[in-house]
Amino acid sequence: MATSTDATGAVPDQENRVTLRDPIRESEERANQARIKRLTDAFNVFDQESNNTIPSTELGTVIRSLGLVPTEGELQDILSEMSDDSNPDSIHLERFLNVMNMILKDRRYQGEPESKILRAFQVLDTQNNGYLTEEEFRNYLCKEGEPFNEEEFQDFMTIALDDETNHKCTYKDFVQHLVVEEND
Amino acid sequence: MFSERWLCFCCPPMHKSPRRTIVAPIEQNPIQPESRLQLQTSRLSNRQKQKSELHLAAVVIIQTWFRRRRALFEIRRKTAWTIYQNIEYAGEQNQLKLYNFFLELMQTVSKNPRDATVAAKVLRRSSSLSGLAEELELKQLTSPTIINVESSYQGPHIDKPINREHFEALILAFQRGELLHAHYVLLILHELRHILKNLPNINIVSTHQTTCVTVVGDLHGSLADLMIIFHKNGLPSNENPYIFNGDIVDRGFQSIEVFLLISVALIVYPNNIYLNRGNHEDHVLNLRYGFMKEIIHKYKSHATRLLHLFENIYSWLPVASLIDDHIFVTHGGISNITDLTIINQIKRQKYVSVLSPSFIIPPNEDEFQIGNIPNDLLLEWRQILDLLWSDPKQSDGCEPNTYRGGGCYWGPDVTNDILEKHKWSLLIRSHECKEEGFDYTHDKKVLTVFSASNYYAVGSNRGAYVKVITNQPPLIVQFVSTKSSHKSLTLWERVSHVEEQAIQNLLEKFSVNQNRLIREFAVVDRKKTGRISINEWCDIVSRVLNLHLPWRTLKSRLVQTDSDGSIIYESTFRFKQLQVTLSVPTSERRTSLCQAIYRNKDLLETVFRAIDKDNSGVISMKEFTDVCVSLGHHNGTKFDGKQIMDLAASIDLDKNGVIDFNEFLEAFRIVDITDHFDDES
Repeated sequence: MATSTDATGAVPDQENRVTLRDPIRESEERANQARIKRLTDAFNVFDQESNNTIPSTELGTVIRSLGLVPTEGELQDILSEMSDDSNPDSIHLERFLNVMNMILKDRRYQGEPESKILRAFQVLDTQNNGYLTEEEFRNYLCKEGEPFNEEEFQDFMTIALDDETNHKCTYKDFVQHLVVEEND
Repeated sequence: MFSERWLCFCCPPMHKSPRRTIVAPIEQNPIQPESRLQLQTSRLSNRQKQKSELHLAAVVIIQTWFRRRRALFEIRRKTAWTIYQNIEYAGEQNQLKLYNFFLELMQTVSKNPRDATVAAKVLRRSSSLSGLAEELELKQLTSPTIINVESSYQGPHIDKPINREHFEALILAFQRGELLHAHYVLLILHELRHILKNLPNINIVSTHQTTCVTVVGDLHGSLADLMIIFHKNGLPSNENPYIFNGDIVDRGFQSIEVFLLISVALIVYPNNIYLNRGNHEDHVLNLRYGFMKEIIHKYKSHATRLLHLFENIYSWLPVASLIDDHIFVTHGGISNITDLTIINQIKRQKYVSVLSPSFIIPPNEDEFQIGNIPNDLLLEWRQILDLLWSDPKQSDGCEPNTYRGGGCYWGPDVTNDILEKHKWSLLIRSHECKEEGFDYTHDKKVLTVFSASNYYAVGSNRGAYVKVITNQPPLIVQFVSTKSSHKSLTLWERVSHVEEQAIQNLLEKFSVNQNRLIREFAVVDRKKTGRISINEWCDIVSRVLNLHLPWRTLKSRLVQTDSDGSIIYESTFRFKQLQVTLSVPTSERRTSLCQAIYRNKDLLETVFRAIDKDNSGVISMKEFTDVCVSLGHHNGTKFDGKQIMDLAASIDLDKNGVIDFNEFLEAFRIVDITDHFDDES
């Protein structure tokens, strides 16, 4: 990009006219490139045949691996923006990059702060016990909202419960498990 | 009847569940993307509505965050899988290169007589006698009568006629970890051979009477997986037929037990148990991938006899099966020339090794020209090679890996052609490990089935088998073996295990390539800051290791990064180190040599074993040096003859001009640097 500059940050171009460097635009461009690289890497993990497509079923995993926290409903929206009617089962890299770049730029689907998640548990804890039981979880998480299937529920319970015998989840400790950050 | 030692995962979900529909629909509100509180509710009081909204929002928050957490783990699992596949693929490529190397040598007059002698020795390992002479020699060498069963032997006894009771007794014995006496092993193998000799090249299987037949994929010595299959699907019998689609041996630690059980099943029910040869039913691969080691370890002085008999038995295994005239089952796959009429006429027993058949490459001639082989002979070889070694690819066409080994990569157009030519509706094959234990491809005309679960590491993949039922689409059953614990592994544990192994693998590769890597890092880091950019690190590592992995995603687990995002490249080597037990201090040149040896450990071992005809673990010093140097020529690594001899001497192995290559290879170990007290890696 920029080669030699003088004190004002101006760059002589080929015909020796001088144009000013735009540091803001350059850093935006760099940030853009970094975003694209990050997105492409995440995409490639699921691009089995190296043909720049991933199966639609994997979109949720890919987006979440980038640290975003969309609901299932929001995922559906994103999916419909990206998918191609002629080929509904797979998503092409180009469309993925276009849509996701905007999402990252706008910092959407960042999710709630830890305190709000704790509050969510407290709302469900109608008796104010400080814990929730497996049965309560099953009633809420498998039947309401965007219900878990059995596999998800089992995986949830293995990390939620304090220990195997008492079927209780002291959610204050548990919240930290949910908010784990992947270092980039 | 079965021991409690294993736990069966009955019918885990076969496919990922389809997208769930939302119970309480979330209103579309593009202006407030953050708000999860806009929810539709029916006729409730205002206060109730508020409470209900809050409740629902809380539920969704928890569900969403948990899903994200789970997804992060999925990614890690997927990445680890990529690592394994890449490493395995690179390993196999190496193996093929090795044999290409030998064929190349035989093809041209070698300028270096040393190379030719090494190659000749290796290829001469297989039997070159024919017909009656071979039978006599085989019977002499491998007759069970040569071996006495001592009175102290506590294991099962087998006598003829071999029946169902023997089969069940063996199952129990093997589950208890008992070893079958060599005498009985030979007995069983001879019985098996006798039956195999009368079988056609292609098994003709019919579901007319039994209504179904079960196809089992690669087992690779996994007794646990075989037990699960028998548990879920029933023991083999005349009412419950099985086809075992090859790769029964190698890699796993109970190859002989698995092979024996399947053999006995075939002996007891010869009309309803079918065996297809896999690419690992080949002594040339057993040299490298573990079966030979297992036999030597378990049967010691009888190993040679057993290996000799196995070598011969492999050649009598049928190469494919045809179910009800329309489902073709073979281990690898097909190619553009696959033709059943030709295959049916081949004398399959000539192919003692499919990868390097000695009748094509005569071991006695040092000046051999590949141009001298008649074309139809080469084509015949390809027919069998392609069946056992090929893999499907997604794009059209057929790319042969020349006649020197490896079969083909065949595309959907070839599938259509060959299936139509023979009026088949489906091709069932194995050969490739799949996460779910099975995989459909080529428009559902090709089905891969793989039956060794946890193949790369605990939690890496499920196993599966296929039930072919008359006039119905095939039924696929998945399973996982969890040998050690009674508790089923959670997603979290599975990922940790799988990933841990994969990362260890990579760290080892770093340490073994340390000198090369440091050199490249230094080139980039001219200012000697000790740091390079992420892109540069990924680039270099990918090139030097020749592994194309998602290095960016992996780097956080492999190296240290600076606060500004650059990589402190020295940290690439902070966990693992190549240690060589030497009685003399090492120089920089020698360190490189040691690393080069460790990198080629597998290949070296393979060739050493090939030369060591009596399986004593010992070869002459001269042969040893020849091998290292020859392999070096081929690999592009410099193995200087003098350096090698010096190294061997300093590892104190040079006694009477023989070298114990087991000891030699053991001298090189990858150790954990962080562990101060333990020398074991």
